[in-house]
Parts: sequence; C-alpha cells; structure tokens
Amino acid sequence: MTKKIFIIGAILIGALITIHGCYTIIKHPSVMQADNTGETTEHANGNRDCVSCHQDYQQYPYGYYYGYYPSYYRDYSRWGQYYAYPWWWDYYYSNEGNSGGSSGGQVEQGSKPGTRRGLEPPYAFPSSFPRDTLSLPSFNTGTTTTPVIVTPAGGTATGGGTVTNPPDQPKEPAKVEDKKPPKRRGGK
Amino acid sequence: MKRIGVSQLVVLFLIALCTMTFAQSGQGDRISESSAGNFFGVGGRAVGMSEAVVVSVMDGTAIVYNPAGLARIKRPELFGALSHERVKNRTGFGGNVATSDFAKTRLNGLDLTVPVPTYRGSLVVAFGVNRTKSFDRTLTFQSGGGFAREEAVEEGSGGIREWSAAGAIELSPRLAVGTTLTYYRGKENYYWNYIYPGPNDAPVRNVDNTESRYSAVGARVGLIFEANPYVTFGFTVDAPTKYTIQWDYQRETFPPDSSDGLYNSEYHLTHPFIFNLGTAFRFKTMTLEADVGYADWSQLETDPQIMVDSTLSLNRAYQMYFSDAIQLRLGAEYVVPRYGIVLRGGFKHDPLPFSGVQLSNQIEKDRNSFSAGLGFLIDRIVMLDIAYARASYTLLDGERDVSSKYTSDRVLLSVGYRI
Repeated sequence: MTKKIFIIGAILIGALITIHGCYTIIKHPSVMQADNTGETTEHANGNRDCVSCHQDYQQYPYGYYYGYYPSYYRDYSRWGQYYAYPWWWDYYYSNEGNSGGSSGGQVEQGSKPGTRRGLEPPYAFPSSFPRDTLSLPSFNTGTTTTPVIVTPAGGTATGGGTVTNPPDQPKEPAKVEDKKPPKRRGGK
Repeated sequence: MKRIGVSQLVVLFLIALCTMTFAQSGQGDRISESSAGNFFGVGGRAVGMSEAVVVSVMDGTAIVYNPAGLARIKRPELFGALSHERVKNRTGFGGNVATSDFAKTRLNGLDLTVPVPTYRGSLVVAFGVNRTKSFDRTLTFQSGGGFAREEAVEEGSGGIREWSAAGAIELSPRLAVGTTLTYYRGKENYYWNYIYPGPNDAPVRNVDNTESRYSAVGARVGLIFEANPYVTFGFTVDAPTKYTIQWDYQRETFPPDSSDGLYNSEYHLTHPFIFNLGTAFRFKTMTLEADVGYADWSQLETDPQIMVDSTLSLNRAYQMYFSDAIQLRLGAEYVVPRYGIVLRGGFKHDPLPFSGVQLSNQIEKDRNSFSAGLGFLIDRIVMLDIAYARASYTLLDGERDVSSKYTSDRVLLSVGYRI
C-alpha cells in the first residue's frame, strides 16, 4: 500500500511538472510579434540562428548550465567537453571562420565540428564570448514564459519580453565558480 | 517435487533455518535474510569513493545512487562495469582454524543515458541493469578430531540486479529531481554440507541445496540541490519493495531421513523504506562527500504470515533479531585536470542489520570497508575508472564460542563512453 502511494505520488508530481511546465524547456516558446499586435507565432524548428532574435544569446546561451561548474572544466577543455558540453551544441556550432563579430555569423547547421571548444557555446566566438557575464537568466515556471526578445539594434523590443542590450565589449574570461551568486535580469 | 502450502512452509522453515544459517549452533535458531542490506557497489567511481556519491554522482550509475544526478549528464553515455570479488572466511572453532574462499567475476552494470536537447535546464532519461546486491559468501569450520568431529562448508552465491528506467529534470538552475523505476530480479544459490556426530557418535551428514529466486518492482526518487559553488545536498528515498521469493529446497541426509526430498514454495517479503542523505563539499579540484543511509530492517515483513514455531512468527522474529542500520559513507576525489587523472578514496561503515539479541548471532566486529580508486579521462570521450574496496566483519556464535571473520575484496573496472 505504501509503495503504491509512493509510486502514485511520484507519477502525480511528474505529471504536474509536465503539464504545468517548469524551468526546463524542451520546446521553444511561442514568439511574440514585435509589432505591438500581441500575436504570437510558433518558433520555426529549423530556425537555429538564435542570434537573429536573441542578441543576448552569448550571455544566456541555449542549453547552457547555470549551476556551478568547477573552474577546471573551463581551464582544461577535456573536462568541460566530457562533463558539461551539451551534445546538441555540436549541431549548432559555427565554423571556425566566423570571426566577424559577436552575432550573425555564418552557421553550418547539422555539421559536427572536428574539435570542440570546451564550454563555449555555439554562436559564441572565442574572442568575444563574455564568459564573466554569464548569469542566471530571468525565468518563470510554466510554459507560458514570454521569450526574451532583443531587437537587432539591441535597443527596443515589444510584446512584454525582457530587453537586454548585449555588452559592447567582451571582457576577460572569468571562472564561474569564483563568481558570487549572479543576479537575475530584469530588475528582479 | 513437492508443492507445499503455508502450513507445510512452517515446518520447512524450521528445517531450513536449522541448516541455512550457520547450523553448527545445533538449535539452528539463527534467522537470516540475504536480501537485507548486502548492497553491492556499482561503478568504479562510486566504489572508489566508498559509494559516497549520493550528491556527486556524475555518470550512469546515478540510476542507482541518485536519479537526480542524471540531470548533470550532457552527452549520451554508454556505461559498463565489471566486478571481481573474492570472498574469504576464517573461522575458529574448538581450537581449530579453518579458512575458505572463492572468487566471482561478474557484469556489474550496463547503463545508457540520453540527455534530451533543451533550450533551458536539463531533461535526461536513462536505462540500465545494475547488480546492487550480492549474496556471495563462504564459511568453513571444523572441530578437533575424534569421534565428536563436526565440520561444515557453507557457500552462498548470486545477487539481485536492478533493471531500471530513470529520468531526471532540472526544476531550477540549482535544483534537480529524478526518479528510477526498477524491476528487481535475482537469485541465491545456497549450499550447506554439515557433518556432525549422531547417535552413538556415528557421523551424520546433511546436504542442502536451496535456490531462492527474487523478483520485485520498486521506485526510487532523488533530489540534488546546489546551495552555492561549494556545497551541494542530495537526498534519495527507495519505496518499500515487495519481493516475490520462489524457493526450491533439496534436503539430503546420510543416513537417509524421512524428511529428505525436494520442496518448493513461494511467498512475499517486503523491504522497508531506504533513505540516503548526503552533502558534498567542493573546493577547486577536490570533492569531499559524506552520506548517511538508513533502513530499518526489523520492518521486514512476510506475506503470508510464516510461523517459526508455535508462538513466534517470522515477522516477529525479524522485529526481534533484526535492527535498523545507519550507514555512514565518506568519500574524497581529487582531480589532476592537467593530466586527466582522478584519485579517490573512501570509508564506509556498513553495519550488519542484526540486533544482537540472538546468542548465536552476535556481531563481534561490525562491517567496515575502505576503498581507493583511480580515474582516467581518455581523449575527451572515455572515462576509465578502477577501484578497490575491502570490507570485513566478524560474527560470533556465543553458544559455541565460534568466531568467523568474513572478508570481501572487490575490484571494479568501469568505462563510460560519451559520444
């Protein structure tokens, strides 16, 4: 009897999380149109150019782990690659030749890089990846999360999303572990 | 072969208990249950840290130690492990010392872990089979020569494997939960050969072969919370598990006895809740973890009710002769990142679940183990772990002043391959 209650409880908790949603997101939320109409559109699965919408992507890269990794994961890439580098980043990885800026670089989709670059996410270029600015993104629980929308100009956005300007200048890398607990964005 | 009912099971239990469990006590009143405790470590990393990994588990063995740990795995992982164990016994009886040992090499674990691509957080599923209980043990004793010579050989082998499906999800950047659903399956082969003086000191020989097949369905939930960069907490609960035990028993006596024959039966045995709580401290490349495990084995319960004698039920015997067990595990891991090497060590206090009420079943020295291990990260995709653990304990039969020291030497070799 106790076991049944236990198992049923576990299933109910799992179902609640699944139905209500939680921090973990496996499907891109609907995108609010930037024309003040309040309409939303489904995110196109084929659209992997995250930077076209999320100019702050380098601060909050897709699939990034916001917990505490030990610093040697970064300092010695083999550890970061084994323990921390999401496998799906391989398929979003930009070419090494994309050194033309912090956003909008050419992306070779579907290809697996010959080598991986530690914990650096796709679309983040070694020279510009502002690692010390990595911090907790603002997030809500539930599937109705309004996506962060940043206009290409980095200035304004509509539809209730949070606006963040990407940093102008990349800073020197820093160890995540050594940071103090990061703040959430959006003035929270 | 005889198919027996519950009433006959009572008689057989009396017979079996006389012989299954260290039968030199004559009265044969030792109550034992191999599946109570006797946890067998899974994976080289965990065993190298004396299984103090409820918090810091980082590979597919999270299915066993804490399913919430699966949320940390970011790449598909195929994990395999082999174990080699040598069990030894050294028993002093009537001024004589006898020793026995045997070794077994077995598949320790095979796990497949698959992280689901996420936009945020982590969602990971895993499947695996892991050997989590071992029944391997041996005992030999013999008294001095003469007409009243007594000698015996006991061997138990087998174990229980967990066939599991598990999942984990991050509920926040610092909090992950997971659950494992498990089908337990395994068996114990037990052999007992006992020679003792009968009427007129003529030797009598008992030979018993018992095969007990275990199966059950169970669930485990776990949680991991990162309080800050240095301190992380973990917690797991195993739900009570109701085993079905099918039991074949062959009894032979020389000279022949009227009760000789083949018997079989089936009953249920419910295991209690098992709790594990841990804290890990991480500083630079060093991780220290302390875990506490708790199970109250006096809550073992059979269904249907089985009587040991006219007044004592087996459930009541479990309450009297078994006790709760608080396991303490300490583990350390030091990474040399430049060379891809990991050094590990640990200590485990793993008390036997006996209350000590039975004179024939006293704990002279409780079960402790020490471990050491090495890990090698090879070419960014393979983690090779090797561990050695030595556990020992001593039981005393106070009725006869027989002291038996049991020792287990285990070597674990595991490989994790991340695509």
